[in-house]
Amino acid sequence: MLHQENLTIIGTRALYERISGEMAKTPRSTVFSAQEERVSHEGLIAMAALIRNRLPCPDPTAEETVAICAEKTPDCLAAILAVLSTGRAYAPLDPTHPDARLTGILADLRPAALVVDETTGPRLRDWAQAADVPLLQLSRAAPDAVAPHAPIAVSQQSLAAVLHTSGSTGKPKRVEIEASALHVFQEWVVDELGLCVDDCLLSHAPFAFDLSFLDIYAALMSGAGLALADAKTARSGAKLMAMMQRARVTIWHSAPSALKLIAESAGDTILPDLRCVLFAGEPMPARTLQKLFRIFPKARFLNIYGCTETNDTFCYEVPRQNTPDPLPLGRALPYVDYVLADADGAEIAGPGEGELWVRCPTMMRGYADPALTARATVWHQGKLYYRSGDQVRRDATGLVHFIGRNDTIVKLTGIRVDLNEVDAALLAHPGVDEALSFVTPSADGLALNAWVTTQHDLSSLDLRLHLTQRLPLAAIPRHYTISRMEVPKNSNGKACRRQMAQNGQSTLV
Amino acid sequence: MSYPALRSFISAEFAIDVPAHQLTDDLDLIDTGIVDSLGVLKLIAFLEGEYDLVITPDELDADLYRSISQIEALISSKQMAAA
Repeated sequence: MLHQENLTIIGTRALYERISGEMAKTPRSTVFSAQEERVSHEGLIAMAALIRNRLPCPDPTAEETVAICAEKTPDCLAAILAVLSTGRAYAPLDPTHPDARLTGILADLRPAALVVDETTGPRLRDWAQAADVPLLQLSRAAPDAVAPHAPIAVSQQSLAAVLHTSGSTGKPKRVEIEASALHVFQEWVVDELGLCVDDCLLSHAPFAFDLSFLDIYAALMSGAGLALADAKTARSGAKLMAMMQRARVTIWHSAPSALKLIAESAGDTILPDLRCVLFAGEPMPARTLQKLFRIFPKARFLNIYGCTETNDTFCYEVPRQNTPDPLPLGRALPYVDYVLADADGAEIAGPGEGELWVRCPTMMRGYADPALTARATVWHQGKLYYRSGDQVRRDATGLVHFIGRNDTIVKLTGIRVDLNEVDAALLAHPGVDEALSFVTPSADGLALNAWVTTQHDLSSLDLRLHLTQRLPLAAIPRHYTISRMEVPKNSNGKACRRQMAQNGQSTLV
Repeated sequence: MSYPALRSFISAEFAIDVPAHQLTDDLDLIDTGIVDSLGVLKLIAFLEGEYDLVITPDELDADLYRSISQIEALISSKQMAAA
Protein backbone atom coordinates (compact mmCIF):
# COMPACT_ATOMS: atom_id res chain seq x y z
CA MET A 1 0.00 0.00 0.00
CA LEU A 2 1.49 3.29 -1.11
CA HIS A 3 0.08 5.41 1.69
CA GLN A 4 1.47 8.87 2.28
CA GLU A 5 2.19 9.90 5.83
CA ASN A 6 1.35 13.62 5.59
CA LEU A 7 -2.14 13.30 4.22
CA THR A 8 -5.60 13.54 5.63
CA ILE A 9 -7.11 10.20 4.77
CA ILE A 10 -10.77 10.45 3.88
CA GLY A 11 -13.05 7.58 3.04
CA THR A 12 -15.06 7.26 -0.13
CA ARG A 13 -18.34 8.15 1.57
CA ALA A 14 -16.70 11.28 3.07
CA LEU A 15 -15.48 12.25 -0.41
CA TYR A 16 -19.03 11.95 -1.69
CA GLU A 17 -20.32 14.09 1.18
CA ARG A 18 -17.83 16.82 0.34
CA ILE A 19 -18.74 16.71 -3.35
CA SER A 20 -22.49 16.72 -2.76
CA GLY A 21 -22.08 19.41 -0.07
CA GLU A 22 -20.31 21.71 -2.54
CA MET A 23 -22.84 20.88 -5.25
CA ALA A 24 -25.67 21.83 -2.88
CA LYS A 25 -24.15 25.33 -2.66
CA THR A 26 -24.31 25.68 -6.46
CA PRO A 27 -27.65 24.01 -7.29
CA ARG A 28 -28.03 25.86 -10.60
CA SER A 29 -24.63 24.94 -12.04
CA THR A 30 -25.06 22.92 -15.18
CA VAL A 31 -23.85 19.69 -16.73
CA PHE A 32 -24.24 19.75 -20.54
CA SER A 33 -24.60 16.54 -22.51
CA ALA A 34 -23.61 16.02 -26.13
CA GLN A 35 -27.34 15.60 -26.86
CA GLU A 36 -27.97 19.23 -25.86
CA GLU A 37 -29.47 18.21 -22.54
CA ARG A 38 -28.82 20.32 -19.46
CA VAL A 39 -28.89 18.94 -15.94
CA SER A 40 -28.43 21.13 -12.86
CA HIS A 41 -26.32 20.08 -9.88
CA GLU A 42 -29.58 19.74 -7.97
CA GLY A 43 -30.99 17.46 -10.69
CA LEU A 44 -27.78 15.42 -10.83
CA ILE A 45 -27.90 14.72 -7.08
CA ALA A 46 -31.55 13.65 -7.41
CA MET A 47 -30.66 11.34 -10.32
CA ALA A 48 -27.82 9.87 -8.26
CA ALA A 49 -30.22 9.16 -5.38
CA LEU A 50 -32.56 7.26 -7.70
CA ILE A 51 -29.70 5.15 -9.05
CA ARG A 52 -28.35 4.52 -5.54
CA ASN A 53 -31.72 3.06 -4.55
CA ARG A 54 -31.42 0.53 -7.35
CA LEU A 55 -27.90 -0.59 -6.39
CA PRO A 56 -27.52 -3.61 -4.15
CA CYS A 57 -26.86 -2.79 -0.47
CA PRO A 58 -23.14 -2.60 0.27
CA ASP A 59 -21.50 -5.15 2.49
CA PRO A 60 -19.96 -2.87 5.16
CA THR A 61 -17.29 -5.45 5.97
CA ALA A 62 -16.00 -5.83 2.41
CA GLU A 63 -14.18 -3.61 -0.07
CA GLU A 64 -16.46 -3.43 -3.09
CA THR A 65 -16.41 -2.01 -6.59
CA VAL A 66 -19.26 -1.22 -8.94
CA ALA A 67 -18.38 -1.32 -12.64
CA ILE A 68 -19.91 1.28 -14.96
CA CYS A 69 -19.87 0.74 -18.71
CA ALA A 70 -22.00 3.41 -20.34
CA GLU A 71 -21.86 6.29 -22.79
CA LYS A 72 -20.61 9.55 -21.29
CA THR A 73 -23.87 11.24 -20.32
CA PRO A 74 -25.19 13.08 -17.23
CA ASP A 75 -26.85 9.75 -16.27
CA CYS A 76 -23.48 8.04 -16.28
CA LEU A 77 -22.04 10.84 -14.15
CA ALA A 78 -24.99 10.43 -11.75
CA ALA A 79 -24.18 6.70 -11.59
CA ILE A 80 -20.60 7.52 -10.54
CA LEU A 81 -21.94 9.76 -7.74
CA ALA A 82 -24.44 7.06 -6.76
CA VAL A 83 -21.67 4.49 -6.36
CA LEU A 84 -19.51 6.90 -4.33
CA SER A 85 -22.52 7.73 -2.14
CA THR A 86 -22.68 4.10 -1.02
CA GLY A 87 -19.01 4.39 -0.06
CA ARG A 88 -17.89 2.02 -2.80
CA ALA A 89 -15.37 2.41 -5.60
CA TYR A 90 -16.47 2.83 -9.20
CA ALA A 91 -14.67 1.12 -12.08
CA PRO A 92 -15.41 3.01 -15.31
CA LEU A 93 -15.07 0.86 -18.45
CA ASP A 94 -14.84 2.31 -21.95
CA PRO A 95 -17.88 1.22 -24.01
CA THR A 96 -15.86 1.60 -27.24
CA HIS A 97 -13.60 -1.29 -26.22
CA PRO A 98 -14.28 -4.78 -27.63
CA ASP A 99 -16.65 -7.06 -25.69
CA ALA A 100 -13.97 -9.66 -24.98
CA ARG A 101 -11.74 -7.05 -23.38
CA LEU A 102 -14.58 -5.73 -21.20
CA THR A 103 -15.68 -9.16 -19.99
CA GLY A 104 -12.04 -10.09 -19.30
CA ILE A 105 -11.70 -7.04 -17.05
CA LEU A 106 -15.06 -7.72 -15.37
CA ALA A 107 -14.23 -11.37 -14.68
CA ASP A 108 -11.04 -10.27 -12.95
CA LEU A 109 -12.66 -7.39 -11.07
CA ARG A 110 -15.75 -9.25 -9.83
CA PRO A 111 -17.81 -6.10 -9.21
CA ALA A 112 -20.70 -5.95 -6.72
CA ALA A 113 -22.87 -4.67 -9.57
CA LEU A 114 -22.58 -3.61 -13.19
CA VAL A 115 -24.16 -0.39 -14.45
CA VAL A 116 -24.90 -0.31 -18.20
CA ASP A 117 -26.96 1.71 -20.67
CA GLU A 118 -29.19 0.76 -23.60
CA THR A 119 -26.19 0.07 -25.84
CA THR A 120 -23.85 -1.75 -23.47
CA GLY A 121 -26.65 -3.66 -21.68
CA PRO A 122 -27.26 -6.18 -24.49
CA ARG A 123 -23.50 -6.63 -24.94
CA LEU A 124 -22.80 -7.45 -21.29
CA ARG A 125 -26.06 -9.05 -20.14
CA ASP A 126 -24.94 -12.63 -20.80
CA TRP A 127 -21.72 -12.13 -18.88
CA ALA A 128 -23.54 -10.61 -15.89
CA GLN A 129 -26.05 -13.45 -15.84
CA ALA A 130 -23.37 -16.13 -16.00
CA ALA A 131 -21.30 -14.42 -13.30
CA ASP A 132 -24.37 -13.70 -11.16
CA VAL A 133 -23.58 -9.97 -10.98
CA PRO A 134 -26.60 -7.63 -10.63
CA LEU A 135 -27.08 -5.62 -13.82
CA LEU A 136 -28.50 -2.11 -13.56
CA GLN A 137 -29.52 -0.41 -16.78
CA LEU A 138 -29.56 3.41 -16.84
CA SER A 139 -32.72 4.67 -18.43
CA ARG A 140 -34.23 8.11 -18.80
CA ALA A 141 -37.64 6.64 -19.51
CA ALA A 142 -38.31 4.79 -16.30
CA PRO A 143 -37.09 6.34 -13.05
CA ASP A 144 -38.83 3.41 -11.40
CA ALA A 145 -39.90 4.25 -7.89
CA VAL A 146 -37.82 1.86 -5.86
CA ALA A 147 -38.17 2.29 -2.13
CA PRO A 148 -34.90 3.45 -0.61
CA HIS A 149 -32.90 1.00 1.46
CA ALA A 150 -33.74 1.77 5.04
CA PRO A 151 -31.40 2.70 6.52
CA ILE A 152 -28.84 2.89 3.71
CA ALA A 153 -25.81 0.85 4.62
CA VAL A 154 -22.55 2.59 3.78
CA SER A 155 -19.23 0.99 3.08
CA GLN A 156 -16.31 2.26 5.21
CA GLN A 157 -13.73 1.73 2.49
CA SER A 158 -11.34 4.36 1.15
CA LEU A 159 -10.92 2.83 -2.33
CA ALA A 160 -12.84 5.20 -4.62
CA ALA A 161 -11.91 4.43 -8.22
CA VAL A 162 -10.44 1.57 -10.20
CA LEU A 163 -8.95 2.21 -13.65
CA HIS A 164 -7.45 -0.16 -16.19
CA THR A 165 -4.38 0.63 -18.29
CA SER A 166 -2.53 -1.27 -20.98
CA GLY A 167 -0.51 -4.16 -19.51
CA SER A 168 2.49 -5.93 -21.03
CA THR A 169 1.11 -9.48 -20.80
CA GLY A 170 -1.96 -8.61 -22.84
CA LYS A 171 -3.99 -8.28 -19.65
CA PRO A 172 -4.92 -4.72 -18.60
CA LYS A 173 -3.39 -3.55 -15.30
CA ARG A 174 -5.89 -2.66 -12.58
CA VAL A 175 -4.98 0.63 -10.86
CA GLU A 176 -6.58 1.29 -7.44
CA ILE A 177 -7.13 4.90 -6.40
CA GLU A 178 -8.25 6.14 -3.00
CA ALA A 179 -10.68 8.90 -2.14
CA SER A 180 -7.92 11.12 -0.67
CA ALA A 181 -6.01 11.04 -3.96
CA LEU A 182 -9.02 12.38 -5.83
CA HIS A 183 -9.65 15.00 -3.16
CA VAL A 184 -6.11 16.38 -3.05
CA PHE A 185 -6.00 16.48 -6.83
CA GLN A 186 -9.21 18.45 -7.33
CA GLU A 187 -8.08 20.95 -4.64
CA TRP A 188 -4.97 21.70 -6.69
CA VAL A 189 -6.93 22.04 -9.93
CA VAL A 190 -9.57 24.38 -8.47
CA ASP A 191 -6.84 26.49 -6.89
CA GLU A 192 -4.48 26.60 -9.89
CA LEU A 193 -7.25 27.49 -12.35
CA GLY A 194 -9.27 29.64 -9.96
CA LEU A 195 -12.35 27.67 -11.03
CA CYS A 196 -15.70 29.23 -10.13
CA VAL A 197 -19.38 29.23 -11.08
CA ASP A 198 -18.69 31.44 -14.11
CA ASP A 199 -16.54 28.75 -15.69
CA CYS A 200 -17.48 25.81 -17.86
CA LEU A 201 -15.06 22.96 -18.36
CA LEU A 202 -15.09 20.81 -21.48
CA SER A 203 -14.48 17.18 -20.57
CA HIS A 204 -13.08 15.35 -23.59
CA ALA A 205 -11.64 12.08 -22.21
CA PRO A 206 -13.87 9.06 -21.54
CA PHE A 207 -14.69 8.47 -17.86
CA ALA A 208 -12.48 5.36 -18.08
CA PHE A 209 -9.35 7.58 -18.32
CA ASP A 210 -7.61 9.36 -15.47
CA LEU A 211 -7.97 12.68 -17.33
CA SER A 212 -11.65 12.57 -16.38
CA PHE A 213 -10.80 12.98 -12.66
CA LEU A 214 -9.87 16.59 -13.30
CA ASP A 215 -13.06 17.25 -15.23
CA ILE A 216 -15.52 15.59 -12.88
CA TYR A 217 -14.22 16.51 -9.45
CA ALA A 218 -12.85 19.98 -10.11
CA ALA A 219 -16.01 21.08 -11.93
CA LEU A 220 -18.50 19.61 -9.48
CA MET A 221 -16.66 20.95 -6.42
CA SER A 222 -16.14 24.47 -7.75
CA GLY A 223 -19.63 24.93 -9.17
CA ALA A 224 -18.23 25.30 -12.68
CA GLY A 225 -20.31 24.03 -15.59
CA LEU A 226 -19.26 20.75 -17.17
CA ALA A 227 -19.69 19.89 -20.85
CA LEU A 228 -19.48 16.14 -21.44
CA ALA A 229 -18.19 15.20 -24.89
CA ASP A 230 -19.40 11.66 -25.63
CA ALA A 231 -17.45 9.26 -27.86
CA LYS A 232 -19.01 10.60 -31.06
CA THR A 233 -18.44 14.26 -30.17
CA ALA A 234 -14.91 13.56 -28.94
CA ARG A 235 -13.70 12.53 -32.40
CA SER A 236 -15.37 15.33 -34.36
CA GLY A 237 -13.77 18.76 -34.49
CA ALA A 238 -17.04 20.32 -35.70
CA LYS A 239 -19.10 18.79 -32.90
CA LEU A 240 -16.55 19.88 -30.31
CA MET A 241 -16.57 23.44 -31.66
CA ALA A 242 -20.38 23.47 -31.54
CA MET A 243 -20.37 22.16 -27.99
CA MET A 244 -17.86 24.80 -26.86
CA GLN A 245 -20.06 27.55 -28.23
CA ARG A 246 -23.30 26.08 -26.89
CA ALA A 247 -22.00 25.56 -23.35
CA ARG A 248 -19.84 28.73 -23.31
CA VAL A 249 -16.81 26.70 -22.38
CA THR A 250 -13.99 28.57 -20.59
CA ILE A 251 -11.64 25.67 -19.79
CA TRP A 252 -10.57 22.97 -22.22
CA HIS A 253 -8.93 19.71 -21.11
CA SER A 254 -7.85 16.87 -23.42
CA ALA A 255 -4.98 15.09 -25.08
CA PRO A 256 -3.24 17.09 -27.87
CA SER A 257 -4.84 14.88 -30.54
CA ALA A 258 -8.28 16.34 -29.78
CA LEU A 259 -6.84 19.84 -30.05
CA LYS A 260 -5.47 18.88 -33.47
CA LEU A 261 -9.08 18.23 -34.53
CA ILE A 262 -10.00 21.71 -33.31
CA ALA A 263 -7.05 23.28 -35.10
CA GLU A 264 -8.09 21.55 -38.34
CA SER A 265 -11.78 22.36 -38.22
CA ALA A 266 -11.98 25.80 -36.59
CA GLY A 267 -11.48 27.69 -39.86
CA ASP A 268 -11.61 31.41 -39.04
CA THR A 269 -13.58 30.90 -35.83
CA ILE A 270 -12.13 32.57 -32.77
CA LEU A 271 -13.22 31.62 -29.26
CA PRO A 272 -12.31 34.45 -26.90
CA ASP A 273 -14.25 32.93 -23.95
CA LEU A 274 -11.67 30.19 -23.51
CA ARG A 275 -9.42 31.25 -20.65
CA CYS A 276 -7.40 28.09 -20.18
CA VAL A 277 -6.37 25.17 -22.38
CA LEU A 278 -4.96 22.15 -20.55
CA PHE A 279 -3.44 19.28 -22.48
CA ALA A 280 -1.81 16.08 -21.32
CA GLY A 281 -0.78 12.65 -22.48
CA GLU A 282 1.60 13.16 -25.41
CA PRO A 283 3.78 15.79 -27.08
CA MET A 284 2.00 18.78 -28.62
CA PRO A 285 3.10 19.57 -32.20
CA ALA A 286 4.35 23.17 -32.52
CA ARG A 287 2.31 23.70 -35.68
CA THR A 288 -0.93 22.82 -33.90
CA LEU A 289 -0.05 25.03 -30.97
CA GLN A 290 0.42 28.08 -33.22
CA LYS A 291 -3.04 27.54 -34.72
CA LEU A 292 -4.54 27.15 -31.26
CA PHE A 293 -3.00 30.43 -30.07
CA ARG A 294 -5.02 32.13 -32.81
CA ILE A 295 -8.28 30.24 -32.14
CA PHE A 296 -8.06 30.89 -28.38
CA PRO A 297 -6.56 34.40 -28.24
CA LYS A 298 -7.13 34.94 -24.52
CA ALA A 299 -6.30 31.51 -23.11
CA ARG A 300 -3.43 30.36 -20.90
CA PHE A 301 -1.96 27.11 -22.20
CA LEU A 302 -0.82 24.48 -19.71
CA ASN A 303 1.12 21.38 -20.70
CA ILE A 304 0.38 18.77 -18.03
CA TYR A 305 2.37 15.62 -17.35
CA GLY A 306 1.20 12.64 -15.36
CA CYS A 307 0.05 9.05 -15.61
CA THR A 308 -2.77 6.87 -14.35
CA GLU A 309 -0.67 5.67 -11.41
CA THR A 310 0.16 9.12 -10.02
CA ASN A 311 -2.29 11.48 -11.70
CA ASP A 312 -0.79 14.82 -12.76
CA THR A 313 2.66 15.62 -11.40
CA PHE A 314 4.27 18.29 -13.62
CA CYS A 315 2.97 21.38 -15.32
CA TYR A 316 4.37 23.90 -17.79
CA GLU A 317 2.80 27.23 -18.59
CA VAL A 318 3.36 27.65 -22.33
CA PRO A 319 4.56 31.11 -23.39
CA ARG A 320 2.99 32.53 -26.56
CA GLN A 321 6.28 34.16 -27.55
CA ASN A 322 9.47 32.13 -28.09
CA THR A 323 7.53 28.93 -27.49
CA PRO A 324 9.95 26.04 -26.97
CA ASP A 325 9.57 22.96 -29.17
CA PRO A 326 9.23 20.30 -27.86
CA LEU A 327 7.52 21.69 -24.78
CA PRO A 328 9.14 20.92 -21.41
CA LEU A 329 7.22 18.89 -18.81
CA GLY A 330 7.82 21.91 -16.60
CA ARG A 331 8.01 21.93 -12.83
CA ALA A 332 6.65 19.59 -10.18
CA LEU A 333 3.20 20.42 -8.83
CA PRO A 334 3.12 21.69 -5.22
CA TYR A 335 2.11 18.31 -3.81
CA VAL A 336 4.82 16.38 -5.68
CA ASP A 337 8.21 15.26 -4.42
CA TYR A 338 10.44 13.86 -7.16
CA VAL A 339 13.86 12.34 -7.68
CA LEU A 340 16.01 12.18 -10.78
CA ALA A 341 17.76 8.79 -10.59
CA ASP A 342 20.77 7.65 -12.57
CA ALA A 343 21.14 4.15 -14.05
CA ASP A 344 22.37 2.83 -10.65
CA GLY A 345 19.42 4.32 -8.78
CA ALA A 346 21.45 7.13 -7.21
CA GLU A 347 19.87 10.57 -6.92
CA ILE A 348 21.14 13.23 -9.31
CA ALA A 349 21.46 16.68 -7.79
CA GLY A 350 21.14 19.73 -10.04
CA PRO A 351 20.99 19.50 -13.82
CA GLY A 352 21.23 16.06 -15.42
CA GLU A 353 19.50 13.16 -17.11
CA GLY A 354 17.87 10.19 -15.46
CA GLU A 355 14.69 8.29 -14.70
CA LEU A 356 11.90 10.27 -13.05
CA TRP A 357 10.65 8.90 -9.72
CA VAL A 358 7.66 10.64 -8.16
CA ARG A 359 5.93 10.58 -4.83
CA CYS A 360 2.65 12.36 -4.21
CA PRO A 361 -0.66 12.11 -2.34
CA THR A 362 -2.44 11.61 -5.66
CA MET A 363 -0.55 8.36 -6.21
CA MET A 364 -2.46 5.11 -6.60
CA ARG A 365 -2.84 2.79 -3.61
CA GLY A 366 -1.28 0.18 -5.85
CA TYR A 367 -2.05 -2.22 -8.65
CA ALA A 368 -4.40 -5.07 -7.82
CA ASP A 369 -1.37 -7.33 -8.30
CA PRO A 370 1.16 -6.62 -5.47
CA ALA A 371 4.01 -8.05 -7.54
CA LEU A 372 3.38 -5.41 -10.20
CA THR A 373 3.25 -2.69 -7.53
CA ALA A 374 6.58 -3.85 -6.13
CA ARG A 375 8.18 -3.66 -9.58
CA ALA A 376 6.78 -0.20 -10.28
CA THR A 377 7.93 1.37 -7.03
CA VAL A 378 11.23 2.01 -5.30
CA TRP A 379 12.31 2.97 -1.77
CA HIS A 380 14.58 5.97 -1.60
CA GLN A 381 15.76 7.55 1.68
CA GLY A 382 12.99 5.81 3.57
CA LYS A 383 10.24 6.96 1.21
CA LEU A 384 8.39 5.08 -1.47
CA TYR A 385 8.45 6.49 -5.02
CA TYR A 386 6.67 5.49 -8.21
CA ARG A 387 9.11 4.77 -11.04
CA SER A 388 7.67 6.60 -14.01
CA GLY A 389 9.74 4.70 -16.56
CA ASP A 390 10.34 8.05 -18.27
CA GLN A 391 13.82 9.39 -18.96
CA VAL A 392 13.94 13.11 -18.30
CA ARG A 393 16.47 15.93 -18.22
CA ARG A 394 16.55 18.72 -15.66
CA ASP A 395 18.09 21.90 -17.03
CA ALA A 396 20.01 24.59 -15.17
CA THR A 397 16.83 26.56 -14.45
CA GLY A 398 15.17 23.49 -12.86
CA LEU A 399 12.77 22.85 -15.75
CA VAL A 400 12.25 19.17 -16.52
CA HIS A 401 12.22 17.93 -20.13
CA PHE A 402 10.99 14.60 -21.52
CA ILE A 403 13.55 12.42 -23.31
CA GLY A 404 11.89 9.04 -23.85
CA ARG A 405 10.48 5.87 -22.35
CA ASN A 406 12.59 3.16 -20.72
CA ASP A 407 10.30 0.38 -21.75
CA THR A 408 7.75 -0.61 -24.34
CA ILE A 409 5.04 1.86 -23.43
CA VAL A 410 4.09 4.56 -25.93
CA LYS A 411 1.40 7.21 -25.93
CA LEU A 412 -0.79 7.22 -29.02
CA THR A 413 -3.47 9.91 -29.35
CA GLY A 414 -2.97 10.42 -25.62
CA ILE A 415 -3.71 6.81 -24.79
CA ARG A 416 -1.08 4.59 -23.22
CA VAL A 417 -0.29 1.52 -25.29
CA ASP A 418 2.07 -1.24 -24.24
CA LEU A 419 3.71 -2.61 -27.38
CA ASN A 420 4.00 -6.05 -25.75
CA GLU A 421 0.22 -6.12 -25.50
CA VAL A 422 -0.10 -5.36 -29.23
CA ASP A 423 2.37 -8.17 -30.00
CA ALA A 424 0.43 -10.59 -27.79
CA ALA A 425 -2.85 -9.72 -29.52
CA LEU A 426 -1.29 -10.23 -32.98
CA LEU A 427 0.17 -13.57 -31.91
CA ALA A 428 -3.30 -14.70 -30.80
CA HIS A 429 -4.21 -14.88 -34.50
CA PRO A 430 -3.83 -18.56 -35.49
CA GLY A 431 -2.00 -17.68 -38.73
CA VAL A 432 0.62 -15.45 -37.12
CA ASP A 433 4.01 -16.98 -36.30
CA GLU A 434 5.84 -13.88 -35.08
CA ALA A 435 4.81 -10.30 -34.44
CA LEU A 436 6.60 -7.12 -33.47
CA SER A 437 4.97 -3.73 -33.12
CA PHE A 438 6.93 -0.49 -33.16
CA VAL A 439 6.39 3.22 -33.56
CA THR A 440 7.75 5.58 -36.18
CA PRO A 441 7.47 9.37 -36.36
CA SER A 442 4.64 10.63 -38.55
CA ALA A 443 3.21 13.98 -39.56
CA ASP A 444 0.72 13.72 -36.69
CA GLY A 445 3.12 12.53 -34.00
CA LEU A 446 3.75 8.81 -33.71
CA ALA A 447 2.40 6.02 -35.91
CA LEU A 448 2.04 2.45 -34.71
CA ASN A 449 3.35 -0.24 -37.07
CA ALA A 450 3.57 -4.01 -37.00
CA TRP A 451 5.78 -6.62 -38.58
CA VAL A 452 3.96 -9.94 -38.88
CA THR A 453 5.54 -13.23 -39.94
CA THR A 454 3.09 -15.69 -41.45
CA GLN A 455 3.08 -18.58 -43.90
CA HIS A 456 -0.54 -17.83 -44.82
CA ASP A 457 -2.15 -15.34 -47.18
CA LEU A 458 -3.07 -12.77 -44.56
CA SER A 459 -3.91 -9.18 -45.42
CA SER A 460 -3.67 -6.20 -43.09
CA LEU A 461 -7.46 -6.21 -43.01
CA ASP A 462 -7.53 -9.78 -41.62
CA LEU A 463 -5.22 -8.60 -38.86
CA ARG A 464 -7.20 -5.43 -38.20
CA LEU A 465 -10.47 -7.36 -37.93
CA HIS A 466 -8.77 -9.78 -35.53
CA LEU A 467 -7.34 -6.95 -33.41
CA THR A 468 -10.61 -5.00 -33.19
CA GLN A 469 -11.95 -7.93 -31.12
CA ARG A 470 -9.14 -7.51 -28.60
CA LEU A 471 -7.66 -4.02 -28.44
CA PRO A 472 -8.82 -0.42 -28.15
CA LEU A 473 -8.70 1.53 -31.41
CA ALA A 474 -5.55 3.45 -30.45
CA ALA A 475 -3.62 0.15 -30.09
CA ILE A 476 -4.42 -1.07 -33.61
CA PRO A 477 -1.36 -0.60 -35.88
CA ARG A 478 -1.86 1.76 -38.82
CA HIS A 479 0.73 0.08 -41.07
CA TYR A 480 1.63 -3.60 -41.49
CA THR A 481 4.57 -5.47 -42.96
CA ILE A 482 3.33 -8.97 -43.71
CA SER A 483 6.20 -11.27 -44.54
CA ARG A 484 7.22 -14.91 -44.68
CA MET A 485 10.53 -13.80 -43.20
CA GLU A 486 11.30 -13.78 -39.50
CA VAL A 487 11.11 -10.62 -37.44
CA PRO A 488 14.55 -8.95 -37.67
CA LYS A 489 16.64 -9.84 -34.61
CA ASN A 490 19.70 -8.29 -33.03
CA SER A 491 22.90 -10.25 -32.34
CA ASN A 492 21.39 -11.77 -29.17
CA GLY A 493 18.48 -13.16 -31.14
CA LYS A 494 16.13 -10.62 -29.61
CA ALA A 495 13.58 -8.86 -31.74
CA CYS A 496 14.76 -5.30 -31.99
CA ARG A 497 12.06 -2.68 -31.86
CA ARG A 498 14.43 0.24 -32.00
CA GLN A 499 16.11 -1.04 -35.14
CA MET A 500 12.71 -1.65 -36.72
CA ALA A 501 11.68 1.87 -35.89
CA GLN A 502 14.79 3.17 -37.65
CA ASN A 503 14.83 0.89 -40.69
CA GLY A 504 11.29 -0.32 -40.86
CA GLN A 505 9.55 2.56 -42.47
CA SER A 506 10.75 1.98 -46.00
CA THR A 507 9.40 -1.58 -46.07
CA LEU A 508 6.02 -0.75 -44.64
CA VAL A 509 2.77 -1.01 -46.49
CA MET B 1 -23.80 4.97 -58.29
CA SER B 2 -20.28 3.64 -58.05
CA TYR B 3 -17.16 5.75 -57.71
CA PRO B 4 -14.11 3.65 -58.65
CA ALA B 5 -11.70 6.51 -57.87
CA LEU B 6 -12.92 6.54 -54.27
CA ARG B 7 -12.13 2.87 -53.79
CA SER B 8 -8.70 3.30 -55.39
CA PHE B 9 -7.96 6.28 -53.16
CA ILE B 10 -8.91 4.45 -49.96
CA SER B 11 -6.95 1.42 -51.05
CA ALA B 12 -3.84 3.40 -52.03
CA GLU B 13 -3.93 5.80 -49.11
CA PHE B 14 -5.01 3.60 -46.22
CA ALA B 15 -4.92 -0.11 -47.10
CA ILE B 16 -2.45 -0.74 -49.89
CA ASP B 17 -2.08 -4.50 -49.29
CA VAL B 18 -5.76 -5.28 -48.86
CA PRO B 19 -7.11 -7.21 -51.88
CA ALA B 20 -9.96 -5.37 -53.62
CA HIS B 21 -12.51 -8.07 -52.78
CA GLN B 22 -11.85 -7.62 -49.07
CA LEU B 23 -12.48 -3.89 -49.18
CA THR B 24 -16.24 -4.41 -49.15
CA ASP B 25 -18.81 -1.65 -49.41
CA ASP B 26 -19.94 -2.06 -45.81
CA LEU B 27 -16.57 -2.58 -44.11
CA ASP B 28 -16.32 -0.25 -41.09
CA LEU B 29 -13.29 1.88 -41.97
CA ILE B 30 -13.30 3.68 -38.60
CA ASP B 31 -13.59 0.72 -36.21
CA THR B 32 -10.83 -1.15 -38.02
CA GLY B 33 -8.52 1.86 -37.71
CA ILE B 34 -8.09 2.04 -41.50
CA VAL B 35 -9.27 5.66 -41.44
CA ASP B 36 -8.64 7.66 -38.26
CA SER B 37 -9.82 11.17 -37.34
CA LEU B 38 -7.04 12.79 -39.31
CA GLY B 39 -7.53 10.26 -42.11
CA VAL B 40 -11.08 11.57 -42.42
CA LEU B 41 -9.67 15.02 -43.16
CA LYS B 42 -7.47 13.55 -45.93
CA LEU B 43 -10.47 11.72 -47.31
CA ILE B 44 -12.54 14.90 -47.32
CA ALA B 45 -9.79 16.80 -49.14
CA PHE B 46 -9.84 14.02 -51.74
CA LEU B 47 -13.64 14.11 -52.11
CA GLU B 48 -13.66 17.89 -52.53
CA GLY B 49 -10.94 17.76 -55.17
CA GLU B 50 -12.06 14.68 -57.06
CA TYR B 51 -15.82 15.22 -57.10
CA ASP B 52 -15.93 18.99 -56.83
CA LEU B 53 -17.96 18.92 -53.63
CA VAL B 54 -18.14 21.34 -50.75
CA ILE B 55 -18.08 19.62 -47.36
CA THR B 56 -19.53 21.92 -44.72
CA PRO B 57 -17.98 22.21 -41.23
CA ASP B 58 -20.78 20.16 -39.64
CA GLU B 59 -20.02 17.36 -42.08
CA LEU B 60 -16.47 17.02 -40.70
CA ASP B 61 -17.66 14.05 -38.71
CA ALA B 62 -16.01 10.63 -38.85
CA ASP B 63 -19.41 8.97 -38.46
CA LEU B 64 -20.42 10.15 -41.94
CA TYR B 65 -17.48 8.32 -43.53
CA ARG B 66 -17.68 4.90 -41.90
CA SER B 67 -18.00 2.78 -45.02
CA ILE B 68 -17.53 3.03 -48.77
CA SER B 69 -21.28 2.71 -49.31
CA GLN B 70 -21.93 5.55 -46.88
CA ILE B 71 -19.36 7.81 -48.56
CA GLU B 72 -20.80 6.96 -51.99
CA ALA B 73 -24.27 7.90 -50.79
CA LEU B 74 -22.90 11.20 -49.53
CA ILE B 75 -21.24 11.96 -52.89
CA SER B 76 -24.47 11.12 -54.78
CA SER B 77 -26.65 13.28 -52.59
CA LYS B 78 -24.23 16.21 -52.87
CA GLN B 79 -23.97 15.91 -56.65
CA MET B 80 -27.74 15.62 -56.89
CA ALA B 81 -28.19 18.76 -54.82
CA ALA B 82 -25.70 20.66 -56.98
CA ALA B 83 -27.26 19.55 -60.29
